[in-house]
Amino acid sequence: MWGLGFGLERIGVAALARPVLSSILIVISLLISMSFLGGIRFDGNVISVLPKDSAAFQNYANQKKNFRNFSRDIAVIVRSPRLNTASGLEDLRFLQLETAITEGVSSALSMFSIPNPDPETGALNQFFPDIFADDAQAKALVARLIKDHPQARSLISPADQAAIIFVTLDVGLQGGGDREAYAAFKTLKDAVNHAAPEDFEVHYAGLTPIGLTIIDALISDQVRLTVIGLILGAAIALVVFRSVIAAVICGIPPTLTAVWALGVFGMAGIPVTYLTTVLPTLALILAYADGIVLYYRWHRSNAESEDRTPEVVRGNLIDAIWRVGPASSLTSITTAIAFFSFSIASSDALVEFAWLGVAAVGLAFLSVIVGLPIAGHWAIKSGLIKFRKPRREHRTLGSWATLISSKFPVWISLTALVVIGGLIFVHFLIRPEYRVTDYLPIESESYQAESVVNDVFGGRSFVFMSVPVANSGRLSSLENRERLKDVEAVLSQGFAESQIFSLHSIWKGLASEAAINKVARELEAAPPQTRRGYLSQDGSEMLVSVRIPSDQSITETLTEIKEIRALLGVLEFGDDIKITGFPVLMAEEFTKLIGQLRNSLMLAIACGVLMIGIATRSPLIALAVLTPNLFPILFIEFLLYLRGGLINMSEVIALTLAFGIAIDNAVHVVNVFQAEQRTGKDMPTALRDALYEVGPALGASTIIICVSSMVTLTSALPFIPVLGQLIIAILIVALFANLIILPANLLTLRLWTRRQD
Amino acid sequence: MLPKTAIYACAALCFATSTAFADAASEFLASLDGKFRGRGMATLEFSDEEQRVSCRIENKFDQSSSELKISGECASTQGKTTVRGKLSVKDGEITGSFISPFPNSELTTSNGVLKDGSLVVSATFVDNDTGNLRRFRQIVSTEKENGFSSSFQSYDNASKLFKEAGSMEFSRTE
Repeated sequence: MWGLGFGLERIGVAALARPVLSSILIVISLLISMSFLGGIRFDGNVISVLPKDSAAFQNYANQKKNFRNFSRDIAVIVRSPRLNTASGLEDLRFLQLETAITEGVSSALSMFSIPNPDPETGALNQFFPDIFADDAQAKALVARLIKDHPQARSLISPADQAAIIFVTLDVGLQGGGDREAYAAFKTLKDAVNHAAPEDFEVHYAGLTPIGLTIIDALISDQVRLTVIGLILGAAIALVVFRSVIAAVICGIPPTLTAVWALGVFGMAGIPVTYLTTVLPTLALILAYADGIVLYYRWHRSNAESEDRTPEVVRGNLIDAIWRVGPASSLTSITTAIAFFSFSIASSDALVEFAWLGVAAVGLAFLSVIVGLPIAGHWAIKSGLIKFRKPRREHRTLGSWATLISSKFPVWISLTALVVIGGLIFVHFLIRPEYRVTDYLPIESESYQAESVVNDVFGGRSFVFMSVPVANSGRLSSLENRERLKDVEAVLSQGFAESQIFSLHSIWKGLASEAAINKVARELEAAPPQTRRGYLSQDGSEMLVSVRIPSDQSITETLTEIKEIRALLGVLEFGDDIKITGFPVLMAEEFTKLIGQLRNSLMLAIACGVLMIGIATRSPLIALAVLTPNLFPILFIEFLLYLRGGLINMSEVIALTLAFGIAIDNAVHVVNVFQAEQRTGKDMPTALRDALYEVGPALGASTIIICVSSMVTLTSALPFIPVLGQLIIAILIVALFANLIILPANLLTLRLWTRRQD
Repeated sequence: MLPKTAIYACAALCFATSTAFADAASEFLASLDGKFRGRGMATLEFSDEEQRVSCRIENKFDQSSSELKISGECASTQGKTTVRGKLSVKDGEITGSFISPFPNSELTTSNGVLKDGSLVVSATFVDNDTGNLRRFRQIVSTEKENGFSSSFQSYDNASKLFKEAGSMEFSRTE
């Protein structure tokens, strides 16, 4: 029959039995992993986590195919006090022209692109003269442009001394990959920097700059988090054991984990994304925590041994594996289950994340159960092991826990049950949240650019409405012009005129059929990259767009989409209008994905508790661990609810992973409690002794993981520190829940079962 | 009747002059080889009026065929277009067009002369849609240091005169 750790601790004992072979295998695996490090790819695409076969994704893909890939567009934001002068506007116009002829650029539009068609003839004149006479004329013309064409507000803001040049990359038209887009963006940046006057402050907003910023942050994070994580872990080991050799030995498992985990990315050819970037660091933290616990047990046995011959020290090491290994195995299994729960999501990227997470946890376990003993073996051989007495243990945590839980067990259990009932109610009130800007380093150029474009211009994201052309044909036919007019009219009930764009803004300025025909000819003869901005490739759909901020919450966007659907519903052809675009895709898919992840969390809790039930072969113990492990998750969700009632994807992931780590406390309590019971002690005494022994160890391991998790605070990506903060908060709550509620539940269930008997 | 020696002398002189012109023309075209960026005023295909433009062109001169191929892009605030051209020296004559000014048109006749360090190309294009003939004159001058200037003139049928249709200053980038 299996033990608590399903016998996985035997791997460590077997490795220690053949130290040379194990060492060779470790070195070979390290070399193989290291050889793949150079091939690690990074993916900064924010939509890579979305399921590709969903209806929203298909609509988005079709819109890109039928029209063009607007999400590749880059907003070049220019800020300068000179934008209110004639010379500044001349420089802006020159910058637009230079940008337009940059390699890889398909088109560049600024306020100078707004045509001023002759109402009678349709001749496409420029709104602005070739040369501004003076500053007064320049200012007056800009003011008139905004008055005549409210949409120009998306291109110029005299009050904020800011203007935008919207750039379409060639790859945007052809649907090229990220690499091509990033290369084109870099060329664009060089060209703009070269052409812009020194007093022009230039920012770049859009998904391409965002993707590149995330990639840069992912690369710097991998190095930073791994190195700082290893240093932090070694420092903890140094403080705990007051020994450099202890710090080195405890540093072996996390180092192995980090190299192996990164090697897996390179070997499998799986790119590091903003989801998976944290895996090597998380695995490293787990390896440190478990490694220190294993070393601590060995260190303590050595200190207590009278005989300190290498054979005895080696025997102590094997004993430590047998004692700590099972709990380490089970905690790895529960954490792996937490990761595995993500695989129920419909996103391939999340399934990939789930499997990579399981692999990372497995590697962390292997590094502890094999790497640390082997390092210990060579340290014994080299005579490096010191026999220092461990620091005096303070049993205050265990005694407090015993005192509180044994005094009012029923009250604690019932109160926990009632509180959890209330927290479950709150759980269902929380709404999903996603903002693309949450994934950008706050001090990054991209984040600043998105802030400017949203605050000054009201955004650069577009919700698109594909309006089918009427049967009677041409783009300029009265029926089609009426359709665009009707769509704009209903949209204007929910959005400002400056947010809505369509060809209607051109048609409405024309007074004669001749003018309409002339402009229609120009529009139909325009190059594809221009034409596909308003008419689909096959000519069957016309485009109307509504501009919204890029940092708008998906909950808000979903509400707006519902409003738009309701508004368009009154039109005869309203049901045939497709609503799509990047914000629509994000709003619809992330809402679903976050919902699935929250179900994953519940599944992880159920599986974790079930696993403890199977490992202990006791349904009552499984029942007892349920509330103390639900409580930390639901309590932190409650805090998130108080913060604004929204939860994002990273936070759900953090909660799930934190649960996988936090349930380890319950495993350790139950492990020692059952061991004490097996010695013949009665239940309350066994529980008391278990809490006395486990309390300080759990306190120490919680501190170790919390301190190690602080490495996440150094990340450039803002959601990684949030992940670390949530893990720390949950671990602290889980520590107290498992030291107070779990013993109280065990005592209450005992009272209840006795009453039943 | 001219003596035979005079005929030979005249033929030799004509040949020498023609060869000298061919050498000078090839040399002129070769001097335009490279990558250039330019700005100025022009009328692009999608616009009805002359406006500010920027261009990026790459000229490739082939020594063996004495041919200069021009390709690039020009943009105005209303949009951008690709530009192409080809000038070649053959039998002492320059033919072709520096930059084809009309979209969907074909070059029918052209003639280029070197004068005071400038190349003046006169060309006639036929519009593929309407069949109308359009006359155009391009003047390319290499007097500018590290670059060249180009001006365009289109023939106005009403006044029977060539009228300014834009000018650009190009600087070498590579």
